[in-house]
Amino acid sequence: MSRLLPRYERTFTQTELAAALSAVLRIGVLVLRSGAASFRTQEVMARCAAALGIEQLEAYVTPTGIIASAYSGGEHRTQIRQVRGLAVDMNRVIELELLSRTLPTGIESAELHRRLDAIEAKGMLYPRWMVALMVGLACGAFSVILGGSPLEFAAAFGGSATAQTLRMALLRRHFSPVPIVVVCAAVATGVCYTLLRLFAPLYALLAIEASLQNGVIASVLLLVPGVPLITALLDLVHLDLVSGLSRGIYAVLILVCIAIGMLPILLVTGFSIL
Amino acid sequence: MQLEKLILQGCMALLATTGFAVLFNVPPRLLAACGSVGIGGHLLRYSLLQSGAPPTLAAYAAALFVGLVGYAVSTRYKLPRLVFTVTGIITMIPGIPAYEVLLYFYEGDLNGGLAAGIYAVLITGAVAAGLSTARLLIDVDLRQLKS
Repeated sequence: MSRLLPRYERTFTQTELAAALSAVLRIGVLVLRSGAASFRTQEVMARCAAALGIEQLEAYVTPTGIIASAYSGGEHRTQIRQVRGLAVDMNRVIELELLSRTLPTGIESAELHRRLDAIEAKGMLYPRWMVALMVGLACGAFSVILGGSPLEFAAAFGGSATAQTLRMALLRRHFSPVPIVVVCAAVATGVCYTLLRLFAPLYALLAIEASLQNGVIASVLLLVPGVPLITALLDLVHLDLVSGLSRGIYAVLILVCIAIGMLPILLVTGFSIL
Repeated sequence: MQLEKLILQGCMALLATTGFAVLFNVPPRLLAACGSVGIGGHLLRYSLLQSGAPPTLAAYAAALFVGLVGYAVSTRYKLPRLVFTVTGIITMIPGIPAYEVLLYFYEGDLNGGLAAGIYAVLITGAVAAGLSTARLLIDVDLRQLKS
């Protein structure tokens, strides 16, 4: 990694070094919160530090916080940033990665902050209704992959599109992932089950064999923490052990929340998905 | 009959992959590429499973495929590989057995729960191993510890 970077060093005052490190940490937090693995976050931070003229950067990245030290001309500064609210935003990962690759050497930290402001100001690329629609279709598709019929596709679509709409509304109100996932799993299961009950006469009419479970189990798939689960293992492969373990625990916690959210609905209806 | 099934599975994989790509805020111009990687990976895994391969091997091979093709596509667009691999492996993530563990336990079926949990761990491991193999094959930097 380091051999690819052009050598550029400048003399910092202590305040300037702190400001430069602060900018490097800011981009690190942004990349990490958008769903990147820890090693990728480190790479982006290292590129920015090199462009800013920091002699050496040591970054310790975990999913809940970043610790970094910047060294320059005998001075060093260390800062910690807490990270809350891991999400997945590929567009932001792409923009930050491109930014870190194209930073002009010798850029000032104020200029880097300005560019980060511009990236942070950009919201999601798709309107909310479209996200809900596409997530619904994706979960419906999963029910067919599992062996479901078009009716289960429709029920899973209804359940997951409703749950996604609710999830986006709760996220805007800054709820924590734990209550969001529990509530959304309950809503997805409830709506999907109700739709399947309403569709009951259609099964006989269209002579379709019922496999109701396929609808219900697919309707909560939008909540499965697929990205943290895989990123956790990739972190472990890169020997980022702390990062990998904490990400893995986060994924397991969310999976447990899905099951907890589904349980009351399954209890009330007496429906078994196993 | 076999071909019909493959086409149906391919279409559903396309829907699932692009649906999650939209959720992950992948830019519109990359959706087609993500969807194609997803179709390829899913069809490879599906045909391996149909021909009797063990689930872990099928997941490993498909994830390796997604990793290698994702690399090729990401080089073409000059973008991080992550965008194409994360969306491409969506259909392989064993979400259902993973959350079913607790439901089995709740019903008192300890064996069922353990079996589902171990299955989920094995498949996730196989997917991560496939992606890592692809990285190790391509990325010279990762074979050695960085100082």
